[in-house]
Amino acid sequence: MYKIYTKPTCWKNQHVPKILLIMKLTTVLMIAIMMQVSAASFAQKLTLKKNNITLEQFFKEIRKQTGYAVIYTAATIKDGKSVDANYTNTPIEEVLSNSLTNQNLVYELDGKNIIITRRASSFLDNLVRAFASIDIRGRIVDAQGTSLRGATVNVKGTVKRTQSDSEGNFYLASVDEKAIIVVSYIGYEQVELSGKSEMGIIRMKPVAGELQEVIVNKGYYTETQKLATGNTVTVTAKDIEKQPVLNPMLALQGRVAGLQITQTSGVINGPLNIQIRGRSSLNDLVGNNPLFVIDGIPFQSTLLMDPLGNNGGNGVFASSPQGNPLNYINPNDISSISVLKDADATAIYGSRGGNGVILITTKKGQTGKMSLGLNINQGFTQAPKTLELMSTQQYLDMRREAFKNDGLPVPDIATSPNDPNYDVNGTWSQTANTNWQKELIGQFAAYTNINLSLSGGTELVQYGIRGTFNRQGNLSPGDFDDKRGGLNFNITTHSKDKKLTIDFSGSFLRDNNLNSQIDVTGNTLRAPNAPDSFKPDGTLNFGGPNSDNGNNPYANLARTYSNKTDNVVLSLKPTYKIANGLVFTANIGLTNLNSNIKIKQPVSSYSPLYLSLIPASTIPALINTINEQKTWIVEPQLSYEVKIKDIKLSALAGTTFQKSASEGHYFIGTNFVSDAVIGNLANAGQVGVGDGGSYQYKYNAVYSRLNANLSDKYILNFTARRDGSSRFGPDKQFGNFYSAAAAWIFSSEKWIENAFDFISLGKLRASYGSSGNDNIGNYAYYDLYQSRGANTYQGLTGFYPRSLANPDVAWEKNAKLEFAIDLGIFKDRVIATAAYYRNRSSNQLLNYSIPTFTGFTGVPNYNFPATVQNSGLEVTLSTRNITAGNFEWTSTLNSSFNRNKLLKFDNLENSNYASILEIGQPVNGRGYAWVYKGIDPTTGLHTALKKDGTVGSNAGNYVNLSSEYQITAINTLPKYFGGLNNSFRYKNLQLDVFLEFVKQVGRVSLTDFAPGYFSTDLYDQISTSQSNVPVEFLDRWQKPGDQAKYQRFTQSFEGIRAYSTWAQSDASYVDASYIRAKNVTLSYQLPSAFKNKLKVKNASVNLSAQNVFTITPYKGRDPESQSYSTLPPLKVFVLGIQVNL
Amino acid sequence: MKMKYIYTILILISFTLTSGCKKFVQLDPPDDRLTASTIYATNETATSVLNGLYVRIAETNNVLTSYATAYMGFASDELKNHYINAASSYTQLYQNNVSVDTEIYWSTTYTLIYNCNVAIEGIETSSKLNAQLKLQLVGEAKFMRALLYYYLVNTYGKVPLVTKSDYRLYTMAKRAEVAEIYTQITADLQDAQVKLSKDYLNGDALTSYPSASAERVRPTYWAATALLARIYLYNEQWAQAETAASILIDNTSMFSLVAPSSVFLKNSQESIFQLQAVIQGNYALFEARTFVLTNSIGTSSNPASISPQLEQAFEANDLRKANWIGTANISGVNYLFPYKYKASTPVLAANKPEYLTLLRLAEQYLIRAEARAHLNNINGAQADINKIRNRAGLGNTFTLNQSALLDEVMKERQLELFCEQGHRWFDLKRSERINDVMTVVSPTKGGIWSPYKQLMPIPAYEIKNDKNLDQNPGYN
Repeated sequence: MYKIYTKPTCWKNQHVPKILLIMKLTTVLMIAIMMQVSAASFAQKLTLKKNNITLEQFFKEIRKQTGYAVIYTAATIKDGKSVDANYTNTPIEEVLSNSLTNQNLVYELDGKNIIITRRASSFLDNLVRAFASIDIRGRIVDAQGTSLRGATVNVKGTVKRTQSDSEGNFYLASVDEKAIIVVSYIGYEQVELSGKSEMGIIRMKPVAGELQEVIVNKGYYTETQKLATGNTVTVTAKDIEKQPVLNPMLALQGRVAGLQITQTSGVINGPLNIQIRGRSSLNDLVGNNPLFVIDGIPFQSTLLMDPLGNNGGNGVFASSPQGNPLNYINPNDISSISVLKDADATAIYGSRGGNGVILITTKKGQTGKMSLGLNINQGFTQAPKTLELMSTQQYLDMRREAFKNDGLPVPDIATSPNDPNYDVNGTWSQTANTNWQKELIGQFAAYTNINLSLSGGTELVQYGIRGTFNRQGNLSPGDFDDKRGGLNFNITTHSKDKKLTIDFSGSFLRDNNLNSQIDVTGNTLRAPNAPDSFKPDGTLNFGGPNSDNGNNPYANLARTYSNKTDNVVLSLKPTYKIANGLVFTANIGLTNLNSNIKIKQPVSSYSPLYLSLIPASTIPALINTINEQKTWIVEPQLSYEVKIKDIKLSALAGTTFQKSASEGHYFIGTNFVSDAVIGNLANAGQVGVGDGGSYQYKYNAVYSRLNANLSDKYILNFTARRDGSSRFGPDKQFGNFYSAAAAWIFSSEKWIENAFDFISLGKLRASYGSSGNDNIGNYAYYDLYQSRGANTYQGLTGFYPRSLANPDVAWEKNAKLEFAIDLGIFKDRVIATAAYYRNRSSNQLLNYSIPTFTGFTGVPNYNFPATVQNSGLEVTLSTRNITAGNFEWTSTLNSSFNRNKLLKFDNLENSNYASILEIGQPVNGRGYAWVYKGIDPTTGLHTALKKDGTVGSNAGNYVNLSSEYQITAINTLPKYFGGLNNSFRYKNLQLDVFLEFVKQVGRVSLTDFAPGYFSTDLYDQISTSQSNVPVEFLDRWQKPGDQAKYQRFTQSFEGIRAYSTWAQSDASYVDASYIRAKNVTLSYQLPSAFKNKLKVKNASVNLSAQNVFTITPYKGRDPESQSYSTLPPLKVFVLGIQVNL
Repeated sequence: MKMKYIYTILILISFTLTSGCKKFVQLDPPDDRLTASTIYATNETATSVLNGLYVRIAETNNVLTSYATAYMGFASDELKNHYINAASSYTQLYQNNVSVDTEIYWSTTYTLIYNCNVAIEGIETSSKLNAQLKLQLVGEAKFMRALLYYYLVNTYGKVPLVTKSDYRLYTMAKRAEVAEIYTQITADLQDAQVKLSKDYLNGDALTSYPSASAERVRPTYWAATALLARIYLYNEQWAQAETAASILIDNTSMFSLVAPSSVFLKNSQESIFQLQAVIQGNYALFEARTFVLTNSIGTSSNPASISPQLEQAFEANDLRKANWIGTANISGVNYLFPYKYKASTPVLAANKPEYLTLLRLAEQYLIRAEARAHLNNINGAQADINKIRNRAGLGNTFTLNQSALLDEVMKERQLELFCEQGHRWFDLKRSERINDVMTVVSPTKGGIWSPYKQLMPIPAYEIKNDKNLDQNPGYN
């Protein structure tokens, strides 16, 4: 055959032989061996020691041992030589390439088929194959043998298709002899078979839905979603990768029921509030962050103090671009993030799991040929919304009206030369109209993200290496890029007998974040007629001799902040199968986070007047903090699985040793000779050393789990942990935590199957148990004396008592109860979960307030007999709405309704929490406000209700609980929140739209100063810059009898107090609900033909946008961050290309 | 076989609940801090607790460094307020309209008292300290505690008497009677007299300075005696006051009146106890920073000028006016300001020319003059007043009448001790002249006088924390 057709001389003469050939081929194909060995045997390895066997025998042996179908024609192996086999447990690829190299044959692995063809087929050979066609027929049935009507039968890689008839029969004419037949039917797993004339009965298996087969990582063990007894939500790389964010937690916003993530600032690496199922601690200072675990290694989610005194903490206080350490994890390295919520999932984390657990798993290498992936995203970021501020004319009119209202003449520089009202007195231009919002935060900043990955492996070794580079610009003018580069690797090796597996992963990320010392968003409310920021010579313009432009916002930008952080996470996980079912594994790892933060305060960034008021030696200055956080952990573990009759038992036990240490150093260099040398502390004339703080934390635990599964129908799961933490007092270090959970998969009951056949999965589950919260500072039980630092007495250092010791400090205990139902209906086209939970957190760690005459305001971390309850409902729903051929539409929805309340607080009325807490009311998110009583019709000032029933306008600058004014509490906790994702796919085009929604009340933040006010305090760097206000305030009182929303314009102190009376009142709490298009991604997969041409496995382009738009009635800058003076979460738009070679 | 593993695991599980590695989770105190158990174990670290107290006082705003001077200066007739802001404590005191939410210097003073209490307990119970050092340190702490209570009792009247560090003893404490507090102050000072060195000591609280260059920055026998003289005076124990003051006045080798320009310089011969200026490279003493006017007035950092009452009280040619009052021309207006401390620009700690003077010899002369006047020792009283008048460049007094002489002492106290840690306010109070003076002065400041206002209100938050605490009458 070969000889004939490789040397054609004349087409004409070939007709007859060709027809003969086709007939021959058909015959051969009919006897071609396509044997599907039972899937029970999965060994893709061969052990064969036999010389001189025929290829046919050889292939038969492969079929027998591996279950792979070997597809070839007799003709293909006609010239085959005999094989000398000498293989022991050798991977099939190796066997085939070894044996076929000298055979002029090649093989191709396609699923479970091994297709043998001749090497380097000639053009004609291919041509013949093209002509070699067969007709195919078969019948499609479901698992029960019922005919399936309307199943699609498609010839892979062609447009040739048909559908089965009412009897399930189909027929396809003229199909390539080597064709792969694809059978698909909605709700069933797609089947691919090698084509043959008589396909016989093709059985379809129902789709193993998302609910059923997904493996859930629960930290110390894994289980399938179907058999899970606890509440765990997993977000995978598919959803994380799409989003152009630097912090992986931002990719989770709105995607997990019960997980609330609030971005309080859009500053790069800015802080986040992360809470699972509400706040369980009464104390702000007790961390409410969940426990973060990366590849088994606990990751500190708090940072030490930064140079500005911002406590990285749990992000509550931080406004600096330091935020939380999760900024230093590359989202692209993550393969999945699991959120553990209920007792069943978290009790095994003991005293650390009270606030829930977030498990981050990084990507692992995969078996197969080396694959190179490249992912480039290029785009820009932008501030989402600008406030509509007054123009210069409106502004000056407001200021003049303010003076008129206050009964004062508008100041004139000619008559009173020292008057500081520069904006109206003639010092500043009366026509200049600068859009400070546009100038200071209005720029587009470039966003680049490049990821390169290399992965592959053999049966015994898999590897993956990923590199990342990211660059994000800052919206403010200046060179403030955040640049980060990282490397992540993973190697998994198995011993030949597969008993030992070693998984080694590591990631390194270096971030270099430049920023300004102060978020200049507050400065955007400068007077629009403020002078130019720069003099013609390029230096900062601080105005005239009085430094009237002393608060030049560019001065803030000239004080730079640079944060260089290195983050290393290494994990090693050996696993050894000791005996059948008995496995030893250990989790060994370390993390190391180093940050070096420098703030430069050059003398050129301060006005001459300011400099004359401060010590000359203090400016220029360099403030430098160096922080290091280290953790190591070792967790050996033994697990055993056994099946006794219908009961599958799994048990595990392990122990944890963990140590974390943190060290901080604070230096301030002053007395520099000039700005030029402030980069180096060594150049400082004087270096002060501050208290950087350092601590150690040690933790030891033993943990265990016992799981019993009867026929995949009834499942019981018990976990227990005894752990000890160095954060607690000498006899309070150890405690026991446990959980018990049960699940009943009722859809597996015969009677349910029969009565409700539309239910593909139905599961009821319940769990109860306890976990703790040890998120407090270290050493609470020690009387510590701290150094007074650089200021010495008679040349000697002094020490002072720092805080009261509390030797009894112990953890907060969180008892969690959950009931849930998981449902899959219509063959899992609709999957729904509803969970009710009730968490009760007791033994509350509070600051026990004591009279200050004892020397301290309180005893920190005092365990109170108080209980906080979070209860609520979480609903998730995912649906495959349309799956019609080329078009597919799927949706997922989650929504959480959490209610937080104080259940119990002994002797509350006599405690100093009496004024801020109330039994039955939420413990956090309570805004305290005056009771607004409208505008006084004669004075035109805002009023609020006093305790004696009268009204007044001087309620003050902040809500003071002991004031003469009446106070009301407002619940600002979200009523509900969640997310809705819709995915549309048409052929290769996919559109994902993810909406986040929050229903809540929040404070409208428009300005902190009364409209009409202009501050001149040089020490107050920000506020001075804020005298312009949103046009919203034009709706003001002008004359007696006016009905207006806002009080009269005023510049008096009295007026400011009255404005605060409104701004701190219940009237300033408004609907701050929003629906935000968190992510919209349009992606296009290049067609196969194109990919083949380019010789790439996969190629796609996508357009992705983050925070695209927000629908909200909220009038301020942003309903999430709720502050006019901080940068809101940014919009990001990127164009991305993904290529896999 | 299978069950064997299950049993093993079950045993491990039960082990889970019973074990735990106690040793592993025990933590040493952090190596950058000291604990109560280690700090009193060596001479050096025990001394550092007192040094820490002095630094803490000297580097912060508190009763000793500026609050008593500024607040009581505003409350009385010494200062004029230019920072009009109803929320500001300055304004409230100036208008004699102090809110119960204003704390003045309540908690900060008690924080320092805690520091004294914890030091006294730690040092007294330590068996590892040099015996002489132990005496000195306990003496210092008791002296400081007495000094702090002196301010509390004179500012607030009855206050809780806290002399132990264990907060559990005091969470429901009542206010102690004024007499009880004075008994404690007197006992502390008498004990301090016994324990404290008669030499000025180095930072180690053990070795003496060569007398010529002594830094007078640690409490001594002399400081305890000087404060005791003041306490006797306040308690109208005239004879004891005279005796105590004489001890200081008679020690001419250590103490003498110096020219007005040198009184507040560091290590001045007139000073009995000064607080070292410790703030590195930053601004000078709080007094100078707050009061010295350069080009602005009326801000929170430069709120005050000298009141007309004080300005007019000076006789012509009083050197104290020339030396201790400054003039600044701001926007064409001349303002007078307290200028006892002159260094208002920042300098390194080592170069600071002035130390905050808490006790000085001139006051002792005035104490003795007053005591002698009450004891009808007219000549002796005259001699002491004349010492002060002559130093100020003024002529002798020849007043013979006891009550006129007492008026004169009061006047000299006003002029000599103006803007020094609240002397004027406390003098007006104890001499019961306060109602006469303030009824006139208060309205000029925009206030309305009421006798109850001579005591400051107990902060409201404190009463909330301790139900047994009552408020001073007049404040609701």
